[in-house]
Amino acid sequence: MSSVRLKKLSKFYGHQEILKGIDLEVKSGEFLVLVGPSGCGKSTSLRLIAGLEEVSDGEIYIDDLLVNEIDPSNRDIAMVFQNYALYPQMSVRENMAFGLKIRKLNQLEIDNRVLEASEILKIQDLLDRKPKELSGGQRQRVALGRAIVRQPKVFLFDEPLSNLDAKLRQEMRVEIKRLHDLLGSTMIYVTHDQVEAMTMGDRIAVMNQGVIEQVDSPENTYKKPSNQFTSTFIGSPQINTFFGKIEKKDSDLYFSTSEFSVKINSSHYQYSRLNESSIAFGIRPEDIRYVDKKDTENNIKASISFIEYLGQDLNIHLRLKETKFAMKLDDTIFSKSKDSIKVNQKINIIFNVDNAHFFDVETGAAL
Amino acid sequence: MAKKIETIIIFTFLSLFCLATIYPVLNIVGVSLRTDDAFQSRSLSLIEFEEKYEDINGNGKWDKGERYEDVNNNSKWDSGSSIKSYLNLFTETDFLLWTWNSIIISFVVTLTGVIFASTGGYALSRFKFKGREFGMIALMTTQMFPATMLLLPFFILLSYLELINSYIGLIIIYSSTALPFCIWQMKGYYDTIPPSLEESARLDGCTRYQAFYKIILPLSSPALVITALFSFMASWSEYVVAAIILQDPKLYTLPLGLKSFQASLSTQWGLYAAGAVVVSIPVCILFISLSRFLVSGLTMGSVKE
Repeated sequence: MSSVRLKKLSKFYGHQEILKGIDLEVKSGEFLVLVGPSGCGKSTSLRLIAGLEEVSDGEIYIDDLLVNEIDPSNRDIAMVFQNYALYPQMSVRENMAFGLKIRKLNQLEIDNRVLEASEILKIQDLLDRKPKELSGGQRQRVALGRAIVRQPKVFLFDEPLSNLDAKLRQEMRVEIKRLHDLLGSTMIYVTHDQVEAMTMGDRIAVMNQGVIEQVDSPENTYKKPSNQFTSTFIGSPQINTFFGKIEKKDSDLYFSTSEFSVKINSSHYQYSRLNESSIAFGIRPEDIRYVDKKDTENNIKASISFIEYLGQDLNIHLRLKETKFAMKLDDTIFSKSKDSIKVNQKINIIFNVDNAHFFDVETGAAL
Repeated sequence: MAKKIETIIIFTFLSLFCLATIYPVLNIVGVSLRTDDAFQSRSLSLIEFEEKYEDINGNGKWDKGERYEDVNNNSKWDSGSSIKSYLNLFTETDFLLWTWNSIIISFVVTLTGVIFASTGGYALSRFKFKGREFGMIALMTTQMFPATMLLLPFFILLSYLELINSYIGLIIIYSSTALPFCIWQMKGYYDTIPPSLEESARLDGCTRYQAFYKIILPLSSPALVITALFSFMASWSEYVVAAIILQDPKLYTLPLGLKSFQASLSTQWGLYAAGAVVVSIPVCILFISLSRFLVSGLTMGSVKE
């Protein structure tokens, strides 16, 4: 188990800056997920840690050792690739043993470790097969096995599940998390899938355009996003953002756009930081509630553009005159009010403003 | 029905091409088994009986107009089949010496081809460096010139280097003409191997060089075999350049040696044909024994396509 520390890490390809001086500390034994849209620099960060790319500027420490100039072969890191990267000419057993042979472990130790790893991953029956005789899920297990036997300081995962189908992906997600609990190793996991990030990470580092926007627990990145990017990237359907003004009426604060106005409760966590100004207001689809009749002051009337049925709940896409947004609706409520919830019909909704987020329009930072 | 007609057409074509390929081979084997100048013979029969003749001119050979018994029933005099040409080839000519010369030259050219093409192609496939694009186009361009056009510059170059009439000179030319194709061939093959395989190997503890020869080279055997075959063929059966560079008959390679049977007045077609058959045997053996490597697809299953 080792810690990994990135200090002002930069990477240029030609004149293009892919990583803009990121700082990140991965604690020993932690499962950290790097998540972000494609091209945000998450895979590049991983490859820099592995030593597969040269650092343009900044420092990488594994434990307290500066590894910038250390060859990947000597960093004691294992990596699971998106395409598995199994050696096609070798059997599963040889694939798993390869790294140990190179490190000149004795045969008994190699056999023991391969056997142990194959038991953990339930691939004992596949040991003599070649990669081409395996299914996608099995190959992924072998790739995991090849990493485990090495007992490396740090595990790196580069979108390892993105080639699997949805069902298998879910299985492997649990599997990898189980492995982490079992081995207690330091793992850094890159994905563009926020569900993977939320379900697997002890902490999530949300990346965007070469910078880390927020590093926090899954819960905090969801509930207390530190900026607008994180709030929109995490959560599905994504958070609804409205641009408007904070206005003071009597002693109360209101968020108003040309189309609606809602009162902000003084118990809201950002209340004390809000002034009269232009602002971005973010509210998650599940924080919008359907009401049968107009009865409260924060009531808004919106018409339904279309409905996505997901089984347990539904995504209702709504529109005001100019803005579009979405809400989540529980199926039990939908079943009761089928007559009123139809496409092109107007419904009454309430924003649960207590759970809303306010961001600076210019910088995107949470207030 | 349409399918059946298609099959018939395909097989007819294939049979015709087979015939066109086999005819010259049978012909040359046939000629090699005659004892006389039977080059004009159109017969493909390998075994013929010697036909008795009336030696009116008393010169120990059949002349036009002399009567003969047409045992083979082909309205011409046949000298009969024997392996005399083959025996003569090995005992009365420098054929073994030429073979030895050819083997040495081909071996060195093949070895250089494989070593430089496998490493050069790898660099072009994996590394980004200044002049890479230009280098690749330059390599390609050299293939556009016909070999005969290069003869004079090669000759001048080698005479400056005092390498005329030497193996080294010939090896340099053969290697330099075969390498561009081989490098491209290897580069193209490496391009199909995902770089993540080497990256994985490097994280497994391999140095860059170890990753290359432990992981990538074994995977590239189909391309290596083609490279080796191409280099070998380029030197084994080459005639024009060798004829210019080598003047000492002791240094002759096989094609030059065979050509030397062809004199201005009389050509020893029997020897010539026997030599041609023997020369082509190693090539046939190579092709047949290496054919299993010629199937690619070794990387299948290593990565998800």
